[in-house]
Amino acid sequence: MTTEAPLWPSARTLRAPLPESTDVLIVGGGLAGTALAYYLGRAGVECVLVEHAELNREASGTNAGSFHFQIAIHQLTALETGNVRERLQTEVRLHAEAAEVWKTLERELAGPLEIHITGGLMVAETPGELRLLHEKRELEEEAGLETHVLEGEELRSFAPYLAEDLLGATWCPDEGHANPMLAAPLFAVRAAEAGAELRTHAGVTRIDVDPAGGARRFSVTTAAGRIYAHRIVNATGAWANDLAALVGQRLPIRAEGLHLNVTEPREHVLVPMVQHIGRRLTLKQSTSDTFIIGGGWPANPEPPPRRFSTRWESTAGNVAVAVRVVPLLADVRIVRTWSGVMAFTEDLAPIVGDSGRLPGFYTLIATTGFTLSPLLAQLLAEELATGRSAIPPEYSVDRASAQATTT
Amino acid sequence: MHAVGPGVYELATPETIVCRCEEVTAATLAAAIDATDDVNVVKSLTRAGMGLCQGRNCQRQIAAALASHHGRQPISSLPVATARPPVRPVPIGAVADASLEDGGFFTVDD
Repeated sequence: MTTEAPLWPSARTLRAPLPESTDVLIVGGGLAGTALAYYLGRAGVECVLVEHAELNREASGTNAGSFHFQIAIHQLTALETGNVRERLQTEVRLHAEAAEVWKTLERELAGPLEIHITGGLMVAETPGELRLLHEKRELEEEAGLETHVLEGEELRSFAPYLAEDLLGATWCPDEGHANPMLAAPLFAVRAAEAGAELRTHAGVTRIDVDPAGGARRFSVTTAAGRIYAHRIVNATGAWANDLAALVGQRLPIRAEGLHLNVTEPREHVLVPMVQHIGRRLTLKQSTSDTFIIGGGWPANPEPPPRRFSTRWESTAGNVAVAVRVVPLLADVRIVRTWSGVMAFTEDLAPIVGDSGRLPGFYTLIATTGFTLSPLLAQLLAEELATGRSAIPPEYSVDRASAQATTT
Repeated sequence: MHAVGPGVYELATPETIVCRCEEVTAATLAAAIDATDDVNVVKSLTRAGMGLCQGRNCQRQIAAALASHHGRQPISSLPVATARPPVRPVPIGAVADASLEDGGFFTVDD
């Protein structure tokens, strides 16, 4: 096993006094916030990141680390309404870009993230699900994401560990996984080296806005003291509305508890990530040879600072889907369950960019946050540094805010 | 758990395996403990306590190292790592309950 020092910013710098002022104040020390701090630091933009507790302890560090590039069922079943088809294509194009970011991230950050581009399978059990796989593949092809539908003998020989009676599966060679316990901490270490300041135990309790604007537009009170900021980025994920409420903003985001199971290590038999088009399942074998089983089964919300508690029913139901799809799991032992939290936006699209109502108050949040956050952070850093935006207009905060006030 | 005599933790060398399930050495743990006083962060950075025994063998040693490095005494004043089910490893086939299968967040019409 590893003997080198783990990568984490030093406790002394994380607890140092806050600077008096900064250009960009990032709120939230998860993957989105730490990645943004890194890209801003690298671009020479002055920034300070404040985290209310410890880095990487919420959704960013408690998810299963999957890269989800294929369109998911909840996105497809919304196809009948409005311009969903167009927006799905925007999203798939973004997924293709995110795949490129992850492929080169270990080199970029010069450290281990346990990134494995293993490819991913999404299985179908029923004729309806199989039809959906074919529709999905067409959309993905149009948007430039490579997927293939495998059926019958072709599927059997490609993935012999799958249950024999499954009707088909899409194969996406770009999918894979990384270790969520390493990604945000490594971004944080490299951000600090690039000149960003990071502080923990600095939860924001109050924001005063100077209508005249200027370099001290925002006066921000935190548990670690006051800091002036020219611009603020809300990267607080599932808790985004706690911060937004301080400036009278309401975002269409809700927090959901997410259940996960991990097993003992076994011989490495499962290379790709496996999902189900119609049921809650993501399944993979990690670098440590354990099986990680999730897929969106619920956990019980608990008031902060408590962690969400796990439900045994989620274990029993989640592993039942897993063993239905990969029967060899039956005698593998579960050693632990845990719960994470996940931010869900109402329309499942990311919310990224400046606010028209309160210029200078930015948002950086994605529903499938682990997959997309490094890319979205890169795009937002570019906008903050140059003023030019490459962020799809569909993700505008005002789109989100407008929806929030009408629902 | 039985109490241990004074000085026992000082017997460890940097190469001593503290977490046997995940083979984590005292040196690796010391680096993590220098960076944070949060036992859950130490666990996620080093994998100590993540193996088959879920920390039953090593959590006391890790708590002692945290308490000593950060000047937090007694050991019992430190928060312990979050406890989660199951209490002991159980085979998937023994607990899977297909009657709990749901249609997912969203369903497909056949």
